[in-house]
Amino acid sequence: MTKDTKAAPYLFLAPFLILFLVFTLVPLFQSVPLATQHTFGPDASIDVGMEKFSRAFGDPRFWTALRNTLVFTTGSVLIQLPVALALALVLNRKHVLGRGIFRLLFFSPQLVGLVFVAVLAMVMFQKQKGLVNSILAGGADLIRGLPIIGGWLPSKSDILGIPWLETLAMPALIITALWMYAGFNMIYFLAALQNVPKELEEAAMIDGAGPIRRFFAVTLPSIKPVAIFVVLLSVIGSIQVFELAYIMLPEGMGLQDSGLTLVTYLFKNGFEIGDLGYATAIGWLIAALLSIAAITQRVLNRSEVRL
Amino acid sequence: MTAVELNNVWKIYAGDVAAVKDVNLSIQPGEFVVLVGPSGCGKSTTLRMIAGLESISKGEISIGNRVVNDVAPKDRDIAMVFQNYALYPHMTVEKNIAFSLKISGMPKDDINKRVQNVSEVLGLHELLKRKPGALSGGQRQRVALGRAIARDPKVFLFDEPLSNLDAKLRIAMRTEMKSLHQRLATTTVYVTHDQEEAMTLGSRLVVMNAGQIQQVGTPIDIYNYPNNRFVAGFVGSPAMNFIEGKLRVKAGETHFSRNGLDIFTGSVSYLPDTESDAVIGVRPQSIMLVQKETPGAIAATVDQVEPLGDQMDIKVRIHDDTVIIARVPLQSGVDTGLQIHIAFDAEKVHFFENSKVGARLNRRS
Ligand SMILES: Nc1ncnc2c1ncn2[C@@H]1O[C@H](COP(=O)(O)OP(=O)(O)OP(=O)(O)O)[C@@H](O)[C@H]1O
Ligand SMILES: [Mg+2]
Repeated sequence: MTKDTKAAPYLFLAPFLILFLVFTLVPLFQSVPLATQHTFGPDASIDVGMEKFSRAFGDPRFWTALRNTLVFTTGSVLIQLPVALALALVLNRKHVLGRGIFRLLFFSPQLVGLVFVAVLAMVMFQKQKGLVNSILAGGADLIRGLPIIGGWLPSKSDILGIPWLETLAMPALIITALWMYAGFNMIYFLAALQNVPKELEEAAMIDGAGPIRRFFAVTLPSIKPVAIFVVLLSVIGSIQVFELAYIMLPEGMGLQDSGLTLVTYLFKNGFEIGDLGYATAIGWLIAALLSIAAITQRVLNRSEVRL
Repeated sequence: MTAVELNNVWKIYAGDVAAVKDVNLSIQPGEFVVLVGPSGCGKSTTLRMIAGLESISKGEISIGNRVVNDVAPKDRDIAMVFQNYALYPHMTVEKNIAFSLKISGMPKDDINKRVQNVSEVLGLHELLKRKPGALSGGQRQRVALGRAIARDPKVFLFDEPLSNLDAKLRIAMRTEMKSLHQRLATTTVYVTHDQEEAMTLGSRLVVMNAGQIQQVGTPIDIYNYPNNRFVAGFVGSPAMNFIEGKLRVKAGETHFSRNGLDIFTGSVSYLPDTESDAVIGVRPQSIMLVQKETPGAIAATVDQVEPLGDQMDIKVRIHDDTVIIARVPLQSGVDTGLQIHIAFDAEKVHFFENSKVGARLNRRS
């Protein structure tokens, strides 16, 4: 190889490497001392050691943010991914009419983008005139006449007044994320399912396995590597949830911190209160959480099988 | 009692694709029947309808005298081996073999005994704890076979189980499958596109083309008395030579000519009197190199010589540039450009109608 061809790969990588250096690596290194400082405006700071970290552990709002973030993450993984997988399983069948249209439909929130979806969700989850409460109220009216159940139902005005964005922020966020990301994850699952040889399922069928056993004994293990990857992506994405909450919820976090997430709390501290040291410390705690998720995935993936 | 019976079976896919057309077949218990034919002729579709993996568009399939059209695959008492083996990749060999037994609720001890038996028959002992990913193609094939045998089904269904193996292993496995069948005597339906594999394995062959059965018979029968031009051309290697021309049979004397040249003269058994357009078929093995003076000798020019050990294939050209392949004993001095004379073995010439079907003209007896 000549000198020129040796340099070529690095030249191609250069644009990425330069941007990565300037906007990721340098700030990352700077953030290490920053987490141990208390800043006074952009120029002045004093060293406070680990105080910012210990403050986080004693800060009830930090714990609320952590709890909300974990609730959101759990909800995403436990509700969204099974829904995505179920959609993929249905669309993977041979005889689904309008398969392409459904695929596009489920994927479409990705096409319009997060901000649009968040704004739309905000409108839909509003009290009184929001679509969600209107549908709930309409549904309740339909079954109000029924015995027993009818008696339990709250009144129409109560239903219309359900404060999703204000106090039920977490369910609202989880439902919106479901809408936003289920179709996206479905595409991963669909691709994985299409790589499972159909003879495997046929062999299991002949061996006497019913649909449920076939799913758990054949299909699921075959798509396990992809499934683990999708779970990891979902967990990492969920831990970083911010824009959705910030746009949808009043003050970006609902009433009484009902929708406060870790990244929202980081943002508030760093850019509204101006305590860059505390924001950085929270950032490092989030990073620790992400690392745990990533390591877990690596451990799980070790038992992966090749088809 | 028949083991498997197909009555007027059709498979019509969406878009009016008739993959299997009016197939009738009756398989006796213990038979090794091979469905053979070119790619796309409907072999797999037929097999999959027997397995229950494909619905039956028209007609009826019975297994063990029970109509199974609406019976689920698992209740048909069959086992299938797929071309790509379809082993469960995350299960060990042992678990692969035991899977169906476990589902059927067989007690653990019995399952273990069965697995031991099967692994003894197929020599799988060292592999039991491994997963399919850690096996060679031949070993996987063996495990797939083991999984089928373990179920002790009424019928084995094989869809090209050897075609992913290299040539040498394929021939070794052929022998093994044959002795396995002799041992277990389980009714077997075996699909292949390889006529040689079909000839060596089958106790009976079913030659298919374009969704239809062309001929059913023992390998020797089909080789010696092909029903029509398709079967004649499909079975045997190198393929039979076909020459179109005029056939005249009168008073036991057969005469075949092409463009005014005598191609064949002789007495052919069981050929009714006729005077018509026809096709003569001669296997390369039924052609001899002869002296110019020999009655029926045709002059030819050697185009190509392919030595094959103690035999050789020679490609020759007769007067009107019709190409003929002959397989003859190896001899030196036969080279490209040489003028030679060939003759056809009168006992082994075949005559076919010059039509689309090309039905056989010389009867069997
Ligand atoms: N799902 C399907 N839809 C439409 N046509 C099909 C379908 N499956 C098979 N066919 C058609 O049916 C015909 C028979 O197919 P089949 O798989 O039985 O052939 P085969 O004899 O097994 O060939 P090969 O040796 O290539 O495996 C083919 O023309 C094929 O294109
Ligand atoms: Mg096939």
